[in-house]
Amino acid sequence: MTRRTFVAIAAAGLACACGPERTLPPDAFAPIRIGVVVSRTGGLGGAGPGWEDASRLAALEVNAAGGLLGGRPVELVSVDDETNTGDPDFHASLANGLMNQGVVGVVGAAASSISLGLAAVLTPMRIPQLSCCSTSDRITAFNEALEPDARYFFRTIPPDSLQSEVVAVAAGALGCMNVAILHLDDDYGQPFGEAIEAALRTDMIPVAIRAPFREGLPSYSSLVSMVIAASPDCVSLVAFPGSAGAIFRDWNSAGGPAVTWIGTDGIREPAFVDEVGDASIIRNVFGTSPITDAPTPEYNAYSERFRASLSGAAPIPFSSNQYDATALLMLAIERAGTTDGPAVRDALHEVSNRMSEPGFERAGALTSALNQLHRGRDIDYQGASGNCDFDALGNVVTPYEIWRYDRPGSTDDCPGPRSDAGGGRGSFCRFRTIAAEDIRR
Amino acid sequence: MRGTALGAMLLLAGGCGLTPVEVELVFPREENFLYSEFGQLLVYDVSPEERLGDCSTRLIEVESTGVGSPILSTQRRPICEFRDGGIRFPDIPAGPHAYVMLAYDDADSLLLSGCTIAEAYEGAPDVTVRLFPTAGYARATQGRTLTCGNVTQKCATGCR
Repeated sequence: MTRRTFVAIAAAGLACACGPERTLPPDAFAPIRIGVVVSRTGGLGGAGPGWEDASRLAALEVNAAGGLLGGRPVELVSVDDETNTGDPDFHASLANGLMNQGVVGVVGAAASSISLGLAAVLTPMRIPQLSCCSTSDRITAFNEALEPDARYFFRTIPPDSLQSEVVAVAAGALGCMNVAILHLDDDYGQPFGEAIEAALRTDMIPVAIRAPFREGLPSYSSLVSMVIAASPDCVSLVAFPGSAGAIFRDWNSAGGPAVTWIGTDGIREPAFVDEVGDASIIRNVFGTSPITDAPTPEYNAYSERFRASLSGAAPIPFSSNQYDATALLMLAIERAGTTDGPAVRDALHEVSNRMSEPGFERAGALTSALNQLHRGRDIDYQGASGNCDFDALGNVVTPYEIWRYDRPGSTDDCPGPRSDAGGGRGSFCRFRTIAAEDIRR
Repeated sequence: MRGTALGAMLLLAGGCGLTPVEVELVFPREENFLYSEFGQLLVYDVSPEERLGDCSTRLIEVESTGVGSPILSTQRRPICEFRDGGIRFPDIPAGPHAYVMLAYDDADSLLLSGCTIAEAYEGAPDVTVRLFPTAGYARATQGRTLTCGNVTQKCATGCR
């Protein structure tokens, strides 16, 4: 070996061996997985993809800001719950499947029965769960039955114990003298229907009939016949878009008399209009709903970024709640400094409520909120859907509205803002606003 | 001859703390790219105070006070030069860094930003920076009509 050859080999060997080595642990930037349970099919299938988009938006925002816990990207693991409200084994399989994929928290579901089915598995495993849209009072009862440190269920929409009172207010304002109550027979509809009956009776408004029904039936003609026979002047309907659409079509086919319909949050969405098919059938249908799209700075910022980052379309009703649920879970992970369930659960209360005064930081944008948390400061997350202040039972409070559906081209006067259902479907008019503090509890 | 060999070895040894890094960019949707005209990619040392959580601070700073003092930066260049993968830095110092991407429109409004923390080491995976609309995106794009149907058309014809 000549000296020149030796030098060349030595130099080449040095070049090969001297690249900088990794100093951080291999999992330093491992993704943080969050489960998202949405209804892509079934009775809520018209809304599910829009709600899933809201979760995607929150994850996009956090990942563009560097992720969580020092550079770890968020990865959403989404599954379709098929709006299958009646199969606890299916709910358990969804929850177990998500846990097997390593999720550290779950956003979902929308339907209360599914949320409760998931919670039966997730809560004992200390996996935080946040729902955008499950309003059942049975969720409050589920948490109440647990010690505070065993509660892992949160929701960004208020419980139906408040909305049932608003239904009674609506019935009184609309001059109802004899009300039929039709409600789903699941964890959403059953307690809600019972609470509406109690609220109406408290207000001395007669109840003609209260009838439960199942989601997903091909026809509701026998139910419709039974209600027509009870001769109500108003019908309170607790349903999802799929069943509501079929009930309205059957009512129309049966030549049902003109009554005042009072729906709920379950049908205040474009998919309801699609399911009915003929918008003239539902002209002047009224309803109640939590207000989660008030034109606050936080909602407007959310709406702008939703349009800019996703399809360009406006966010659908209650997608703001889904965005907030996803955002709060991520902020709580950052606050906790870990994905450990109990720590994240505690942090959910901390990031959603005002913790210190003065000097608390108000966050409406996630980059800013993450920055405050990273600096060890408190935040009081102000959501797109409302203030998102979780109480000890994981509930929030918002104002409510009495809404009215207006057909495309309607010239009816609307005393409040209109929410365009998009695609020439008409609009939901905010007929009246009811402040949270004015609701009887 | 001996001096030359020693010099080469010292040069190699001096370069041992450097490694090439590929940076890939992800736009939320095609329309975001179409509205963008220029981009700039910057690399920062992570600050001792912020460490691996440096990104949110960097993004807030670049939006409020400017790009500051990156250790490396591309020029502000046409956004089409960032398509299909993005860009390669041949010599990134070892260790964790914040990679910040900024996208501007033709009026110099910052439309999108994104940041990723990644460690530079031999054999490290490519760095992916995900972009997100800034607070000024809606105002900057309001009322504008895109004449480009897609990215290929934009980068081939220069349409806006």
